Order: sequence, then C-alpha cells, then structure tokens
Amino acid sequence: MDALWWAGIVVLGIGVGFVAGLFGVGGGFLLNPLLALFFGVPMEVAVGTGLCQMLGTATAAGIRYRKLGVGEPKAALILALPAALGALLGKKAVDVLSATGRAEIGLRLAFLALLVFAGVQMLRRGTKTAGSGWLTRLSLPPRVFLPEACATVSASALAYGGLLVGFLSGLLGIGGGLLLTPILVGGIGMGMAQASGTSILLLLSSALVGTWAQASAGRVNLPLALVLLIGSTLSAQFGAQLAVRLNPEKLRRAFLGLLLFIFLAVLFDLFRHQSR
Amino acid sequence: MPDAVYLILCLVVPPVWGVVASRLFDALSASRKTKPVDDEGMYHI
Repeated sequence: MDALWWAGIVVLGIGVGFVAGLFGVGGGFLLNPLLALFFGVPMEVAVGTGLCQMLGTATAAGIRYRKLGVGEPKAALILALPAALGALLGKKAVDVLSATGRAEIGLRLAFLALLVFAGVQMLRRGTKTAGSGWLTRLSLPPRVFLPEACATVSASALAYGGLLVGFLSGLLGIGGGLLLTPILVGGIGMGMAQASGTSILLLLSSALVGTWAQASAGRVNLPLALVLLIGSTLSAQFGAQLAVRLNPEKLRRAFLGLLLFIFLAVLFDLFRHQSR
Repeated sequence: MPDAVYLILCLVVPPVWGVVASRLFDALSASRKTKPVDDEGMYHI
C-alpha cells in the first residue's frame, strides 16, 4: 500500500461522503464495491469498514442538517430501535442464505427489488404535497404528529417500516438510507432535503449496530476507516448544505438517476455472475 | 491490541471525529464570511 493507494482512499472518501450528505444515504452501496474492485480490499472487510466510516460521516452530516434545521428527529427516534432490531434479523438471514449456498444470487435479486421499490416511491412523490402519502392515510394506532414534516402518521406503521429498512440493511450490508429516503418522500410526502436530514439521523443507529457486529467479527480495518473519514466527514457537510439550497425537484431527479445507475450496475453484475 | 479495546475504538473514534469535523467545517465557513453582510446579503466593503 503506497502513498498513491492512500491518496486514492482519501479521494474515494470525499466522493462517497458528498453523496451521503446530499441524499441522506450511508454510501455503503458505492463504497463497498469500489473498495473491493479498485483497492483490493476483501468484500467482508469493505462492508465492515464502510459501516465504521458511516458512523463518522453520519455524525458530521447529521449535525450539519440539525444546524440547518432540516430533518425530523421524532421520526428518526421512532424508527431507530426497530431498525436496529431489523439489522440483526437481516444478518441472521444472510447466515441462513449462505448455508443454503444461494446467498450470491438471492442478495442481488433482493437488492434489485429494493431499488425498484425505492424508485416507485420517488416517482410517486411527484404528484404529492407535503404531509400526504400512504403512511399518513394508515389508521393503525397510535398516530403521532411529526412537527417538522407537518404530517400525522401511524407510529406503528413507521416502526414496521424501520424494521424493514433495518432488515434490508443487515441483509445487504448497506446503511438503509437508500430505502428510507424514498419511504419518507413517498410515504409521508417529505421534501427531499427533509427526508435526507431524517434518514441520516437514523443511519447513526444502524451504523452503530452494524459496526459493533462487524468489529466483533474482526471485519473492520480502523486505519482505513479513519483515512476515509478525513475526506468524507467534510464533504458530507458540503453535500448536506447543497441539499438544502438545491431545488427539491432537481434533487429528487438526481436521486432517481442515482437509483437507476445502481440498478443497472447490479443487473450487470447479476448477468456476469450468471454467465460464469 | 485486545479485541475489546479495538471494538471500543471502532465505535468511539468515528463519531468523535465526526463532531471534530463539524467544528472544523464551522470554522472554515466562519473564516469565509469575515466581511460584514447586511440584511439583504450584500457585502459592505
């Protein structure tokens, strides 16, 4: 590992941090394959190290969003515990899939389904106003008012949503923001910046549980995580600041573009895996 | 390094650095806005 390798890691951190701050995602879906593909880091170490750096990036971006007054801490609080529980269940599901020898294809198909669902949620927001969405119409008690989002939602439905996000993040080794941001946009009618600010708060809990699980198994390279953090913590704050300034419609379309890009990359990877 | 110490470092160092980076970002932003600005966002030179 020479100086050029470490310089590449810093640049990678800057890029991933910016995307994380802009869209309220952890960035694991970008970081993990890039670390494995271009830097020769074993995939399981990339996942563990990615979660560890996400802890720092989400802290910095979360503080920035709170200072800008964007995000819904009450929703993040409702989501946090079920998401942490879901993450542990997701990790168990990976163990079961691995034992059957179908993990590789099963995980890729689950990821594709997740991307389609997230894309549909983002497209639905185009016709909605703030505070309206399928989560606001569910009458499952108790219903709670989210002051920053100006919406009354079913807290239990939101908690089940958190469980699902956590499960998928544990299953796919991602933070879960890729799914949560679209749920908040399509389900509650939040604006993109508001959804990103909420999502990044939730990522803190899933990253904490994920890092604990991965570090216990010896899959976190702390020096690598810290070098990634040098760039990602600062660029995540620039991303958060830009998210608040950008036209929400432009931001929504950019996120849709990002989803489409990942969808095509996973699809390509699936075909390549099948043809082997 | 013992496993428990490594685990604690993995859980504590990244968020602490996140807080430090947030302060650093504030300091950088403040140094860029040293010129006085009025209510309409105009600089007084």
